Amino acid sequence: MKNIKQYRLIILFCLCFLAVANVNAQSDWPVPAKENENMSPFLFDDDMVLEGRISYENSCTSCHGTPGQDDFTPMAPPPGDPASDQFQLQTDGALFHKIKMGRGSMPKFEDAFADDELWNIVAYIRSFNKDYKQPLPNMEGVEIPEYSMKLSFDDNIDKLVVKVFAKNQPQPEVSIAAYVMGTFGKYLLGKSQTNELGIAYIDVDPTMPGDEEGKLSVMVKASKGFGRAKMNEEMVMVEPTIRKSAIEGRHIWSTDKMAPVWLKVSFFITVFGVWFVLLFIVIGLRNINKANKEEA
Amino acid sequence: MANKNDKSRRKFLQKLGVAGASAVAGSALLLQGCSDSNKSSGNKVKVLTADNKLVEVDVAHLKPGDKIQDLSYLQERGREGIPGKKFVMVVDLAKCKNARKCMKACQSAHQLKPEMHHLNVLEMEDPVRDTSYWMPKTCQHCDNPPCVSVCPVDATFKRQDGIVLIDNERCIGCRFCVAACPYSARTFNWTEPKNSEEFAEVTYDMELNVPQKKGTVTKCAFSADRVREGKLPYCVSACPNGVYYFGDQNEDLVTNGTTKKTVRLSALLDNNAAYTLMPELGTKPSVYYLPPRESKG
Amino acid sequence: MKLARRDFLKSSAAIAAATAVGVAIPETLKAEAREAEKGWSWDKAVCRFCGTGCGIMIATKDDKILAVKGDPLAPVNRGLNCIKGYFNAKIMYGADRLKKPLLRMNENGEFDKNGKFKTISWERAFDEMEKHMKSAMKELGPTGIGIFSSGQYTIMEGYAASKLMKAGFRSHNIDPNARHCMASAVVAFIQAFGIDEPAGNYDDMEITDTVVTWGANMAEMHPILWSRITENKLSHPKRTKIVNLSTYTNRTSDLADIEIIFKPNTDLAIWNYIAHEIVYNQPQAIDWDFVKKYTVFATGFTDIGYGMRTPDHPKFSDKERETVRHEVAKKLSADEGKSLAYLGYKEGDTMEMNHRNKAMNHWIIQYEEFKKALKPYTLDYVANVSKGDSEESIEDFKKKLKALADLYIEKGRKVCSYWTMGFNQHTRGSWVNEQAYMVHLLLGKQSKPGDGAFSLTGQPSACGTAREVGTFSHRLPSDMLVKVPKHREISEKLWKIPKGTINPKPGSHLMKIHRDIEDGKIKFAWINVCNPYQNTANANHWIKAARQMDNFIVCSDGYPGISAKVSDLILPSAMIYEKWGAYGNAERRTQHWKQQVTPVGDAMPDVWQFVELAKRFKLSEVWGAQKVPGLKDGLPDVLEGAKAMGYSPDDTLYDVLFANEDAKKYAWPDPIAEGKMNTESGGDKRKVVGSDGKPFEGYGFFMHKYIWEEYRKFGIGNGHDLADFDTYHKCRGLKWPVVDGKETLWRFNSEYDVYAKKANVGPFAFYGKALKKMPQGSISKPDMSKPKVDLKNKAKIFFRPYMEAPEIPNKEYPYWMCTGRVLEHWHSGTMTMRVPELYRAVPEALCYIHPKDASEQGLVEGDLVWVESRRGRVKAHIETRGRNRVPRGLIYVPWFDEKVFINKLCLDATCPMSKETDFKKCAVKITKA
Repeated sequence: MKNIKQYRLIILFCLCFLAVANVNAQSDWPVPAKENENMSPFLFDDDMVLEGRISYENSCTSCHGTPGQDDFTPMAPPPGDPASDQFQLQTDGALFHKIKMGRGSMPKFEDAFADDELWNIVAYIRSFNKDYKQPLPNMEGVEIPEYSMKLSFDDNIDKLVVKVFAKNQPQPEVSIAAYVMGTFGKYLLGKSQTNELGIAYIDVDPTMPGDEEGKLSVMVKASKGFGRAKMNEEMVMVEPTIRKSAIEGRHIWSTDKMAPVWLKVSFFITVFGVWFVLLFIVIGLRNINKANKEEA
Repeated sequence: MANKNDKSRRKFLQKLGVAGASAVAGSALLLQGCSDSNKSSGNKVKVLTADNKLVEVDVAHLKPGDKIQDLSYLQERGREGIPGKKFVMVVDLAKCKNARKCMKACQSAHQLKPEMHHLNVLEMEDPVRDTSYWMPKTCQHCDNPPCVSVCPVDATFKRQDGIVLIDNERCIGCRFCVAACPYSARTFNWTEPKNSEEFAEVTYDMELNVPQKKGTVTKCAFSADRVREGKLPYCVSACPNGVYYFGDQNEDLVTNGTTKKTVRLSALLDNNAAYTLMPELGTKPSVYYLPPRESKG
Repeated sequence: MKLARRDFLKSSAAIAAATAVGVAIPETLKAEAREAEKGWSWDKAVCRFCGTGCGIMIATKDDKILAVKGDPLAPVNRGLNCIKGYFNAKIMYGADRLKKPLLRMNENGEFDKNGKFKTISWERAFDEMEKHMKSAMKELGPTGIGIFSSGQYTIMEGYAASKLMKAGFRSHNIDPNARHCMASAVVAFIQAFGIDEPAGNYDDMEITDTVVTWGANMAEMHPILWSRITENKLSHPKRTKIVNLSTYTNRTSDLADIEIIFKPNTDLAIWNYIAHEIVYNQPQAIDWDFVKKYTVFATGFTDIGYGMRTPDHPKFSDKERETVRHEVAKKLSADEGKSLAYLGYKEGDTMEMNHRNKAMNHWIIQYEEFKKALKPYTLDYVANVSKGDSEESIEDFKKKLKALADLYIEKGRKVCSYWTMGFNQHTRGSWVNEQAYMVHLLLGKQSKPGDGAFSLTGQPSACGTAREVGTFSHRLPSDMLVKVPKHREISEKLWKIPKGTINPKPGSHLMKIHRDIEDGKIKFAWINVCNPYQNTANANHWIKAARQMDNFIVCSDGYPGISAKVSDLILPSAMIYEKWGAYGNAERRTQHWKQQVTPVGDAMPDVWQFVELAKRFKLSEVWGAQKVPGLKDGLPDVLEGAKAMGYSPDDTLYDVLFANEDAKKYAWPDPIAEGKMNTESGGDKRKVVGSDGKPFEGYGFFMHKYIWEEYRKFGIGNGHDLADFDTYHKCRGLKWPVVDGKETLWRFNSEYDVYAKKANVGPFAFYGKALKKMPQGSISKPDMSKPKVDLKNKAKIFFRPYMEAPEIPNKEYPYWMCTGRVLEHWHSGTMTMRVPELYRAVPEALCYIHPKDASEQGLVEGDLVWVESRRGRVKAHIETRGRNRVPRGLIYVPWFDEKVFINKLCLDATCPMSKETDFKKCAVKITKA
């Protein structure tokens, strides 16, 4: 009797401990003060929420479930539901930092999402909090520059050349991120900053396969403070590659039309050969029969 | 003697003629039956035209606007595949923790009963270090597929983007392919598939392979339906641990299903000593495995 | 006794080498060798490679060269050869030797720039050349064509090319690869002395007490001369001192007493330190008698740019503009602030390059100003500016600089300074050459046995052919200039062409020919005996222009190098011993040789190619009035003048320039030939089907002798005297001026030089005539109000300040890159890479890097790296312990290897005065490949 009671106590104790540990897990992730105070340069609008929802459903649902439904995956520590207080009581900057840098089982999304895409996800998470008021940075006297970009390729040194202008003036110290658009995601070519002439150079690996003309689909984002610009362009940067079909040529496993010639020939020869032999036997038998009858 | 022969020959020719004529007539009738007959069925419906006019049309004259309902379109599309692409998958065995989310997503998408698997996570033994690791195994979409070679009716085929599909409209259920596959990637519908009534009206799309048909073979299709829309396969997106990478070998880029980070395929394979399963069989699989090494730090 | 081939070759070679060194050989061995050599015919010739100009003996049998040995009777090398020299026999027989003309064609057999090369006949080759030349000249005039000429041409070839181009086509767009090699030295000679080429000769190496090598790796690049210096050092170890100044440790350092590793470009500061040391601390060393009687002080402008194009040129990429913008204005660094303070500049000032087109201008100044300008160059300042090895202490470096200055200054100590590309391939190359003369003239240690600044030549005949014959865009034979009307008149008279034929406007120099092709201003170019698409900096630009633009490039070569692969038409050319020829080496020694063997395949000598081309052009097509961009009124019509001289407008250039009456006076065969063949004059056994579709049987007269004797006339009486043709075949070369059959050993020295004695102004006379009427001025600018000064028989002591290179390492490109050569390979490797032994010795160009620099970047010896500059990138394997041990922050890559095409990275900045490219300084970064 005593033993059973002891066991139960122990189990109860363990469960409590786990519960406490689990609850504490989320709040036990400190964020540096500077990141904590970071604020989104964008006003969370419906567009951001929609974009954020798409990114969230693609990347976050598998562990965090759908916000508000508490259907997150049981893991240690538990990911938690983003609509819950655990999340909503944190600052925008904290959420941004945690998504970007990750920790342990929480992946680091810095290379998968650009800054504005991360803010989209924060916007989506906030959309589940009716009481939420977005803190906005002091915009007094701040002029948001309108950036325009020009892209070119320097084939002497295999570099993508990005020139950033605002009102025809070259803009220095603008952060540039360049990606190659793949079928399923974007591949980071590199990040750089424009120099004092407003030009940034990003290395392009000449062994990357391009299309038949050697073009790659490039996306470049520029950002500095509140100024943003994005550009998509197809540029000739690498060697042209001819895409071969996976079923080119004649193989033993090809469909009928492309079956190896020797197979087709031998197949038909065999089939007709067998039929011929059968026919020969049948006719022979008939002839024997007839001969028999005639004799009879 | 000669007469007899003549008579028999004439008779033969007559018979031939009659046979031929009837064949022609018969086929003509048959063809007529097959053509788009302009016969009305008598039933009329009201429909709105493109320029906002309300008209009444005979039901028999209506064709499905949504091409997805058109079986011949789906069949053609499924056979042709996506040009210019060659899909590969990379599985990082160091990350698999047997969460089985991938299997859950796959089973639910493809209407599969629990004992039928397109994708299976197996526990593999490492006898040297006396430990084990988890290995997800899909269809390898081989570049030299033994299953395709043995199919007597061309029901399973490899298409130009590298994906090996099964057309269950043609499959006769002989199960040669199940025997031929060295990776045990194929499975057979011995009984009615799960929720078969629910999906009975859905037009058969071989890329999704829903509705499943009893008496046919089914297997992983690299989620050809998702891939066509530029989305990652079900298993790849469902994984919470970052095990799967999927992408186009022609672009040399693969994307991780969990972090959505895109990396160079050649660099990923070279730097991590990637291998394929049973390479000595010469099947040339399109699924690469990164060894279950100890993660650093 | 029958010998195996290897045995007798060995014994032959052993005897030859042993004899050269002076070792006794057993009689039996000698007898064996003699037996083996039966049927061999030995004849004297000159080595194909460097400017040393060693004499060699060639053995031929059955029309093939079998052996080479050093010529024991040659005063230059006395029977020794270096490793390249010994393979002179093999260079003609490489596996991919060009044998037939090749044209890029499409399937229909028409010329197509994107087609593949297919063999054609010589007739078709000349048809294509004629067609494209005529269309280029019709569209652009005589400036629309260009010739990349060479310092490795024979003298006859250079003369023929120059005459055809300047007298025939009236174009001066002919410039040799010597522009990349010796142009700075030439400018300094002409500005300082008024006449080209060194005063001393190789005998100085045995006589002198001090050898100072400045940026010249003599041990690898002039090995035979280095062996003479080594003998001097080893025989007088205490007395003879050797100093090696370089930007990295090389094999020359192994013998040096003092090795000074300096930062690139700071050679300018070091010379000024030596001058400062003389003028301020040891003024008693100045030989005032000499200086007052024979020299004046001079200086020039400093804001002259760097020979680059201006940044607004459309073909520059943005990355390149980061450097090119210095061409119009440059912010001065701290070091420059001090060195240019005498002009009123200070650190941080922007120097506007206002005198880019007046770089050559100079004027006379007084000694006091000269002294004042030298003030900043104290030991402290110069040591801090120029210390190149960051791991060396400043105190050690200062001690070395002081020791160097003391060696120069020491009374009674003979000093010879030697330099080659380190000085010449320099954005201030003319300046630093002049600084060498500055110190030697101040001390009176010039033009005396064992005393003198000696500019070493790189190529075998940069002196003999390019400089003396004048195959430059601004020159005529014998140091005459295109710009000077009197010189043009003299040339027209000697060439027997009407007055006014020669174009008065100088043409495009080598760099400019490339730039003009890129700008579409030249649409036909002919490459002779050089590899301009491998040897020119910023190669990406020129290769793209040649391949993608509308032009026609012809390449005459023996092997398919990069230039041949970039061209549209390739002509197989006879190589050195397959034709009669002559070279002039660094010590002014002209040496001739005879044709030894028949050329390989259908290869024909270059003289034949020029002469056959001349047959395709009638006078009426080239001597009519022509428009020339930049020349008001264009070129006049000289056909009337031609008629007056007895020519008809239907005569071809061949009739007028090459097969005229004078030419035909030289009969062939000639007794001097001693039975040797002559393809141009008498044809050869191959009976090659020539430019007229018929087998070529020779011109019937002695073409080479005619060319020589006509060329000779230019030099007689003005300090460039050459002996007659036959004499050179009877001796081992003669140093010009050859007056009354006697060669000149030390020029400008009345004891040895007939012309100096004739001047009758004392023991010395700098009788060069060029630039001897100069304006006067202050240290910063000329004063045109004062009268010009006549400097007859005087030399100039120049003051030149220290300036930085236009592109220096920064955070993004942290390494200096220096390019150069290795002992085993010659230039672009078209010949030596085809010799299996030389290829095996050094199969690829390596990137020499300091081991700590490599390990900091995570690299190990042998790693493959990308070397990248703002203009291009190449892959190379690194070497951390090789023959060149570089200091931190500098890498060295030789350029002989096509696979490591390092000229894609180099900057095409030139000395604004000489237009010679600076291949030794640009900024690069290294990343793992």
